[in-house]
Amino acid sequence: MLTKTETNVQPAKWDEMESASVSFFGMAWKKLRKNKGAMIGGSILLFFILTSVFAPVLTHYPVNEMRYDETLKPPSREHWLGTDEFGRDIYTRILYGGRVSLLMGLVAVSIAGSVGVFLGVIAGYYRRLDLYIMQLMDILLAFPSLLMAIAIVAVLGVGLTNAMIAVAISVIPSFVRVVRGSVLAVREKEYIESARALGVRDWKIIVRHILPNIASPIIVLATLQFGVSILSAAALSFLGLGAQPPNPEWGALVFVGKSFLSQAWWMTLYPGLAIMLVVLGFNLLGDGLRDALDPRIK
Amino acid sequence: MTDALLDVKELKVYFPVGSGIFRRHSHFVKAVDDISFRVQKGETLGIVGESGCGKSTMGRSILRLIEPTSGSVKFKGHEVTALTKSELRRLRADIQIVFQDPYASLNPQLTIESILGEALSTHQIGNNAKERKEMVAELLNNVGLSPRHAGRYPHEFSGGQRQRIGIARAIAVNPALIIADEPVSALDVSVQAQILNLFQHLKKTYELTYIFIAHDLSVVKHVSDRIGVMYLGKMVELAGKKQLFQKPLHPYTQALMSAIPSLDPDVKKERIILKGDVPSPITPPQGCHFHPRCHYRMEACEHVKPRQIEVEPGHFVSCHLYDTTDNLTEK
Repeated sequence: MLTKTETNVQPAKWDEMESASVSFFGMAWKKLRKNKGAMIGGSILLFFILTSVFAPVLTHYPVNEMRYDETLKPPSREHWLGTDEFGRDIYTRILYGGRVSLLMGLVAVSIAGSVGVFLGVIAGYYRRLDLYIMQLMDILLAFPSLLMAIAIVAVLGVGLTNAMIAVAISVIPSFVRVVRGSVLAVREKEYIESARALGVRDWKIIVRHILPNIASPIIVLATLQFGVSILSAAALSFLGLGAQPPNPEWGALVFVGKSFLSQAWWMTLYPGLAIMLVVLGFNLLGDGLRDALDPRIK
Repeated sequence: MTDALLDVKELKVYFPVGSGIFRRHSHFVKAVDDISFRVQKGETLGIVGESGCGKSTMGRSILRLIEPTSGSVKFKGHEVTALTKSELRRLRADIQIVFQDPYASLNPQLTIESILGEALSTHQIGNNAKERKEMVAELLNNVGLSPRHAGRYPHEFSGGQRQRIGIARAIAVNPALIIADEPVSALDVSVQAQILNLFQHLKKTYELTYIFIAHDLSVVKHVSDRIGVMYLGKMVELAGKKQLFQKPLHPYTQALMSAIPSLDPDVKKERIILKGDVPSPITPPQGCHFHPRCHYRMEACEHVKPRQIEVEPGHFVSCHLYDTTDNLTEK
């Protein structure tokens, strides 16, 4: 495939080492693996993801069946994490509840991420729309995000889907801010100018040149917002605005458990612990990713 | 001189500064202020001037990377400033630019092959992926790089190598004119020579025309046929290389020339030291922009803008010292 052309140009000097090319994300992965916090966070998350996926294998109790001879039993060999007021196994409910909680986080971050990246890129790249988009985001940011989510649920109505939408909307502004800022920094780079000088179309410049170069902050933010979204969703459920009983969503479990706090502490402690660990996992992983994706930190 | 490849007339690029609540732009940075010149096919026009004199802005406004405020840019007889978006995209294959900073001008997330391949595919050069791959290999050969490294990322290259890639990207689309915006000023002196030689070599192979922007007179002297000297958004002198170096007319050019160090220690040169700093381009001096720092200042210089005068064939200067017509009193 080499075409030889007549040339008397001195070839540039090469280090003779034929090292394999390593992409930016390849190097980031290497750095991430050395980061203890990120690996612990990642393991916690992997643990919770696997346990909720394989919940039917890991327990033989049905999730919603009530057994009145087993109500409010403390942790024992039969019921590792105790039972609730209807005799349902808490361990089983946490496993199945993880499916709901993690899914809520995933859906909320996906919606917020795609809308946020879209608006952020538009605001950053097409400066004429910048002012309008950012003022809208500033209005949204002016409210605490949980309060915002409660207000949205109040408008849309109580329920799991509406809670997810509410959480997603409350998270959008932080995505728009971060993406817009990153686009502003990248769009002034000379490689963007050279792409324009080549006549590359706007959408191609955005997809090929801008998005890959702002991927790092988006990945970090998405990871951190995952934890925030799960926490907000649980908070909404705890307030009785999200998942409704008998849905074993973690926030809903804590909500139910708080009425029995003096008799059955296990009903609130264990689902609460699950929420805490997952959020901690996302935060540890997010911090690790931030370091790994920062080219200045070796 | 009618079939010039590029004909720039009264080009102006103003940037508004200070936007209040009501967005009234009362002040402008006159980055490029009324510049006219022509570039013939096959020649190299060097542009020199100190930082902030508008030489890069001028280069970019010819490509309409920065929209000119007014004036006309004719390329092969077509008015560039009047082109629509899609026509402009086609023009991109004819005029290319090489940037100053080889570390910022290559997308760090793309391999060399995809950087060069993008240039080819944007202008539908090469029929399929395989053909383009071969063309990329040939391009790399032509700029003195090995095609074996096409799969590498920019961070794996040195500054000089990166600049070679930047040049390869510019020549990939077979342009007629390349605007080189200080292409060697970010490089080591030893590498500078290699890159300059590469420019000379490619000019012959690809029949290129260059506008070569630099702030280093010796660099410009090495590559240029004609040289334009810019000061504060104005082209103060434009002449053939020999004319300019042997007989600089404008006081600013004379001061620049006197600053070139001589290799011969016995040659005593009179060094002209300019006083003061370059004035702000927002509020440039009245009349001739150079008059506050000029040794030959006359009364007229403070009020009347100098015209561009052709003192001898092909040697233009904007200075009242050489204006023999009697128009110094009118405004």
